[in-house]
Formats: sequence, structure tokens, C-alpha cells
Amino acid sequence: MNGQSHFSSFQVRNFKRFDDLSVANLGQINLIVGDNSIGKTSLLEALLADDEPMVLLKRLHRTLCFRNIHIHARSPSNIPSPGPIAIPTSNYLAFLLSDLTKPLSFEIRTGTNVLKTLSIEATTAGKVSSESNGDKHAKQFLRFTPDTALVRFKSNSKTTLTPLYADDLAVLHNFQIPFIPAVRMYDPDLVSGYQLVLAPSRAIRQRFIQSLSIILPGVQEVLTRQIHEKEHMAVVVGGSDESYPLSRFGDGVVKCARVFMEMARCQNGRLMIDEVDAGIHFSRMDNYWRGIVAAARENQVQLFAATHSLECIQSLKRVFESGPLADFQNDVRCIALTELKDGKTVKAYTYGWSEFLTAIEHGNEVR
Amino acid sequence: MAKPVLVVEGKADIKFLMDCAQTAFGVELSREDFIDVGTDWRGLENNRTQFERRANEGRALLMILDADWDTPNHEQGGFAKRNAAIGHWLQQNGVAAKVFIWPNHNDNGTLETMLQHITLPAHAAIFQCFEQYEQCLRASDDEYVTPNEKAKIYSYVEALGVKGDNKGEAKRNYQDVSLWDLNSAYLNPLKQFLAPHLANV
Repeated sequence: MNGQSHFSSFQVRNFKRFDDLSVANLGQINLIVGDNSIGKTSLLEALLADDEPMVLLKRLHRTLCFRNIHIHARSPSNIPSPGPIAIPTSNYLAFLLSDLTKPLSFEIRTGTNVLKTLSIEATTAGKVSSESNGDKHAKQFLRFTPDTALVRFKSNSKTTLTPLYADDLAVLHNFQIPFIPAVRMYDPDLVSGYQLVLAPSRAIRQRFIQSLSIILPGVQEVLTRQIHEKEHMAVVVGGSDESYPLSRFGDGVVKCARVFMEMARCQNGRLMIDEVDAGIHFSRMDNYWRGIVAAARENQVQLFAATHSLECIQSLKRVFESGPLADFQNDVRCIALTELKDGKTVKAYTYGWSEFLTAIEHGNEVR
Repeated sequence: MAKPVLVVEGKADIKFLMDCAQTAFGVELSREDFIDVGTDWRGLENNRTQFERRANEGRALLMILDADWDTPNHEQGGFAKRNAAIGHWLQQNGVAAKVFIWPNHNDNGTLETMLQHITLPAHAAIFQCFEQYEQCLRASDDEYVTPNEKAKIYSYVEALGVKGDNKGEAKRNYQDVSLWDLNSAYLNPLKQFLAPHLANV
């Protein structure tokens, strides 16, 4: 694993169904497996942790949108912006924290053995003013009504206070989260992704085309084109003069495009992919994995991918068992989430390559 | 009571124990109730995460492994040495498990050694013929390899008319009373070992 900022271990407390979940011995390619509702997607979401408060809040808030939970600060529709902002009375953190009275916290070790501790705590202006003891930073919130929801963010020794929903109002340039949900059909974000990631570099476009050809043979060019007043991401396939919208080729192709685009965008960072195999035919699975691993290595991306599928797991094993990737077996981990006998606590077990290979070869269940 | 997890060496053991559990205890075991460590007890080493996981799920670990023989080609072979070696490995690695050593937690041998003891006496002639075949091979001037125990069991099954895949160790029907005696007294040590974990599932 080359990325200095890659996680070597990760702990999250008070997030969704995780009172306290630790995952140790992480690699560059991490496959997360487990039963339905065990928390695979929640673990992927927790791995969005970042030490910039607005980035973390925005990422976590965005995961709710993928689940169709839309609670946002907005301008009332009959008042032109800029104007007053309507702040929802609901606290979106209630959908993320197991216990709203306790902080959501992270403890992360990176490849260089640097320890980061992060936490998010829900509070109110009223509580802050009663705790402030003349703190200059806290005093700015005295003008808020006592029940105004705030978030106290702590990163190592630094503390930040911010109103909840400030993430909706913060302008973060070209904000995109490094998370691909299980089901996400064609979306205009692919056009902005193209403009930001693919358009500036022919080399990146060529690598993208080569990766996409795993699932869409014969793709020669990727571009955007206008279709009825809207920009669409499009491809030229075979000897055709015409470009076709990407969405024409099905959800598997769209997923593939999103995966390889995000790999290029997430250089030296992490990328989380839910149901990594969804939409991919079994006959293309091995080459799909080879493409993903090649892109992850090229871009120094630490990958966390979740699956239910035994086919997908067996394919990962085949891809690393022999051939060019055999030298990188030590970069592979299989992380199984299971429930303890109390029926409530979830624990993560990390299989290194040797144990993973043994389990698959002998037909022992890892999921 | 949660079902135990049986730790074994191979598909043959899995099939036999599934049939034995059904007949002796009325318990249906599925593939997920087993951890196969491969053909050698040293495969325990590559399954530590599996053992920890199953134990944390509240399931008892039952290791049912071969004694083999006390010969140079078997590491720590023979009942006494193998039992001690496995016990030592469990202690060194902090794994809590109960252990049963094939064929009967007393003698040297393997699963197939046990299987020979539960074949039907009415068909003893098959093994006498096989013995003559082995003697013939050993008597030859050419150095032939004499068949192993698995081959002997395979021949028994084939001679009694079992066809196709059902002859193979992964698919044999040990509940077939025309071939096997699952009520044999030879299985009492195994049943006594399994009873505390299967009797009340």
C-alpha cells in the first residue's frame, strides 16, 4: 500500500447500528462482506470520515440523499435568493448517530502510523452559551435562539462550532463524495465529473476508455453532447460517427463509468463502492476486478467495496491468485461483518490474503 | 442451543458427519456448520479468524481430525502425538475447542479407517479380495504403489452397485443401510463426543 494517507486501522463509535466498531489491518483493496442489514453500507459511509468539518458534514449529509432522506436548508420558493434561509426543525444527525446525546467519533491510523481522532457532537446554542464561560468563539452563537441546532466538531485538539445545516450553505468547490451507492442510475453529476476529471487530460481519458471497454467493448471516445437542451455524457462505439448517451448502454455501463471516473478523481484518497458487482455480468467480473485494481494502483486509491455475491468474492480471489497481480496479494483484505451472540453488537473480522484464499479454496463461508 | 461448528479435513468428513448427525441426533447440518481446513491438520493455522468469529457468535468449536500414523511421512502422526500436537496448537493460539481424533479417539488411522469398521459384515469378502489385490501388487517385481484406504472404501461402494457421483466421498449416502451401519458400536466414542452439542439443538 503506497498512499501515505490510506487508513491502516479505523474505529467508529455511535454511528447508526455501530456502538463501537473497529476494523484493523486494512489493505489497499478491501472487500466488505456480510449479511443483509449487518451494516456494510453504514461502514462504507463511516469511512467517509474527514478532518475538515464541512467536508465531513457534507459527506454524511449527502449519504442521506442517496437513501432518499432529504432534509435541507433552503430558500423559501417565493423569495428570490439571496434571501432568508429556511432551516428545517428536524436534526439530520438523528439519522446518523445511534444516540444523539453522545458524539459520533472516529479513531483512524494512517499508513504512516499517524493517529487522528475526530468527533461530531450535536448540541444547541442554548447549551453552548451556558457552557461558554466567556469563550470568544462560542459567544458568536449567543445571538441564536437557544434551541438552534449546532454541531461541535473536534479534530485531534482543535474544536469547531458550526450551525447544523451550515454544510448546505457552504460552497465547497466541485464537491463530490467518494462513495458510489449500490443503485445509482445515470445522473448529470457524470457530466460535471467528465468536465472536471476527464476533459483536461487525454491520458486520463484514454485510461478511462480502456477501463470502460471491459464492459463496453469497442468504446473509442468519451465526450459530452447536448440532447434536448441538456448536456449528457456520451460515448463513440465501434466505427460509428455518432456518439450515444452513456445511459443507453444500461446500468452496468453507467456504474462502470462512475467507478473509473471516481478512481481518477480520488487520487491518493479513498473510494467506497457499495454492491461493487451490481450490474456486471459474471463473464466480465474477472476483467472488471482487474480494471478496478489497476485503476486503484495507478491513482493510489484505497478501495473499500461491499458485496453479497460469492461470484464476486471468488473472482477477486482468481484475479490475485496468479498472473501479474499475484505479487500484490498482501494488499488484499476481506472484511467480514458479523453479529455477536448478544444479537446486537457488530464485529469486523479482517482476513489477510492467506486466510481469504484458504477459505475460498475450501468452500468455507466468509460472508 | 446454537449449533456447533465442526472443523474437519475435507469433503468426505463433512458428508459423513452430516449423515451421522441426521441419523443419530435428528439434526440437519448444512455446509455453513463446517470449517474445512483441507487435507492436513496444519491447515488450522490459516483458519484462526474463522475460529474466533464462530466462537464470538456463541458456537462451540468441535475439531474432528485424523490421527494418521506414526510414520515419517505424517507430521506428529499417530493418535497420541496428533492429539498432543493439536492440543498444543489450540493452547498456543488461544482457541477453545473440543477435539475428536479419527477413527475412534484411541487408535491410529483416518476417517476411512473408521468407515471400514461400519461396513456390513455380510460384505467382508470385498475387503478380502482387496487384500489379495494389494498382496499381488506388493509381490510384483515392479514397484507398484499399493492403493490407500480411500481406494478400498471406493471399491467397496462400487462393488455394491453404487453408480456415478454417488460413489465419490463428497456424495456418498451413509444412511443407506444396505452399505453402512451407523448404529455400529464403533461409532459410540464419536456419538458420545457429539451428543452434548447436538442432543438439544
